[in-house]
Amino acid sequence: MSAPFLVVGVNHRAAPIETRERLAVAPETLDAVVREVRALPSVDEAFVLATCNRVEVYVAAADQRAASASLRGWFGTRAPVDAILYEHHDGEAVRHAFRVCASLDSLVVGEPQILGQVKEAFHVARTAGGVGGFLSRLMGRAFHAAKRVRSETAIASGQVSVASVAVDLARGIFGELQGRRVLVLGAGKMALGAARSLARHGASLAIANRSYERAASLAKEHEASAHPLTDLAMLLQHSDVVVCSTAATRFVLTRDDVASAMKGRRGRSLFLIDITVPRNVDPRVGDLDNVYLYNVDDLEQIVVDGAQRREGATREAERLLEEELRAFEAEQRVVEGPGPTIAALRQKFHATAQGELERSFGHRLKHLGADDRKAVEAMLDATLSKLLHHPTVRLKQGSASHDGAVERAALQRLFELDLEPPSRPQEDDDD
Amino acid sequence: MYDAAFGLAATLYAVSGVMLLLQLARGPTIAVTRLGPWVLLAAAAVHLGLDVRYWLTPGGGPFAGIRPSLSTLALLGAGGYFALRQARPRFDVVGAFVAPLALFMLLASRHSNDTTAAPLGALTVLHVASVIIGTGAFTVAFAVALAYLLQERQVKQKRLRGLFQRLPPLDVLDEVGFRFVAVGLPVLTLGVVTGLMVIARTAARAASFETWQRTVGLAVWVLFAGVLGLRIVAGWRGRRPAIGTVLGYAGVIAVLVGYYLRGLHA
Repeated sequence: MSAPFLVVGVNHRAAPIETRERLAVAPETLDAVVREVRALPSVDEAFVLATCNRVEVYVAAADQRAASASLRGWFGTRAPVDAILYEHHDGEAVRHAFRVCASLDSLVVGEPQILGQVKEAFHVARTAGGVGGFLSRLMGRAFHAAKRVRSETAIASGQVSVASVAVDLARGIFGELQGRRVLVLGAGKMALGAARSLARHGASLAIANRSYERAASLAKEHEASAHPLTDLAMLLQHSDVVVCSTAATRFVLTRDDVASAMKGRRGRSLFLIDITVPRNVDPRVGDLDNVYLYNVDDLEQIVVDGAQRREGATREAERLLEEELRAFEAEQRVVEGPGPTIAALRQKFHATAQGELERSFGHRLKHLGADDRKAVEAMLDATLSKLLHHPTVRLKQGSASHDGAVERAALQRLFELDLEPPSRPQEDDDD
Repeated sequence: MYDAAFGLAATLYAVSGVMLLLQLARGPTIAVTRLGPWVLLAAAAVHLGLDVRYWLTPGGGPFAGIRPSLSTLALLGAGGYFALRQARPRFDVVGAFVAPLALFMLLASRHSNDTTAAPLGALTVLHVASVIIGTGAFTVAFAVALAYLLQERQVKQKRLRGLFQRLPPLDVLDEVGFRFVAVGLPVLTLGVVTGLMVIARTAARAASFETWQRTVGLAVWVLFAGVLGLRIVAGWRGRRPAIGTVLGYAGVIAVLVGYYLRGLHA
């Protein structure tokens, strides 16, 4: 397949958390970052996926070598990551996008959050004008494939999310969770998901947020108590599990905060889950007695167990993705073949001519009778057919060659042709 | 007959220890290791049979000397373990620490029915019984403290496979360890007080050899009292009390070994 597609990025496998912190993109600046990437030389379409575990740029680019250089330069301005950047091109890049959406490339294979995160990033990119026909088709198919993987395989069974990992860890520390108190700092979906899972095992919830109104709204939704962040010292003394997920770019919990709280806790164990990047909790907190701190990277240990259990489901998911990849390739071949370009070109010419004719018949040529009008229309049709004959033949002849692809791309750009695939899957918004 | 039964009890303790250690290290991958607690129970049953036979002999009794006392201590440790595993889930593997101790004490008590020592006075018997019963509780507390330290290391080092899955939760281990110390300490205190009374009565005959044992014994008492007191007063929990329990138990064993060696060379 010759999809003009490129993925450049870093993820949890090669980039330590400190590096990912430097590359992190705040949600409110994501649209600006998309525009910045889209404006790079040789980048035709772009969207940026920035989660706790990965920062990746998905780019449609006819000149991939130049686009790669641009993107490497862009990453280099944010952090010295050239040695750990990975690139996927064309078919491999498409496969990578599918695997990311289907959570096969996640830290916790099968975890459900990534699909929502990709959809959100894609939505931002589309709104920011970074996405065109190719990425729309690609991601539509990738979302469809991811949904099939979730519904048709056991990939999501067992311990696949931060939530289930949090429950396992909490039970390993406290035993029964009945009567334990869970504090959520911030309003992150992942943190709330983890807290809800703990609550299902009998724990009570408290939510603290910089905005008390937001905390109150979430507390009402999750049957929790709401607190302003100014109550943090008191809350730390009375909570057993703290899930941190604020948008803060500095430590919300320092070593001194927790050490001070531990004095008031009379040595009771405290389990801290920091699922944010940049981190919310000073890593030195984990050195304190009876304090157990886990960040996103620490979850990798648990992935191994879960991955083994889900090995069969993963194989089935990979097989299903291959099916979807073949479907996308077939769809792409149709789009990349001469047919859609020729049809779009003819449709554009005829629509333009028809518009002009109607305008002229309403003004300067309104004196013409019906027969004359038909004659003018026939003459214009014949002219257009003759004008389009050579390009049509040329496109058909070059359908399988590189030159043909370049010519199609040139025509599509020059005439702003909007190519639709024959049956593009709808983006799933119901997850 | 005695030798055969003794050999059987020792073998069963050893086999159960190996099974339980394998279960702790490898999990239920070797199915037969699940029988570890029951093999330990069989060992304790044979052992109890041997001891009852001895208790019924003239001059015999569970606390009739250092060697019978060690035998009784082994039974108390095994009994405490069984009571614990009946009451709490996931405590099977704690037997991996109890079984070797029970085997060690059984071997040390060899020929306890051959004792020729003069009958002990009532106060001395009370002293020995208190010390041994208290130490029985500390034996379980020690095994639980070891399990706590292992589990705490797993959680701190984020090793959430294997041992983490097999050992009980940290807070449960902490609580159970505290309870066994809380049971053992008052009984040990009685043993210390009665021991001081015995010493006062036989002061003239006290050998300098016993001085270090008394010192260590008192240090052990202070250590366990510290573990218990600091928890009640200052909320001392977790790793430090677990280390205190392990050190305290090591002191108890040192004292018992001292008495044992003196008995051998008396």
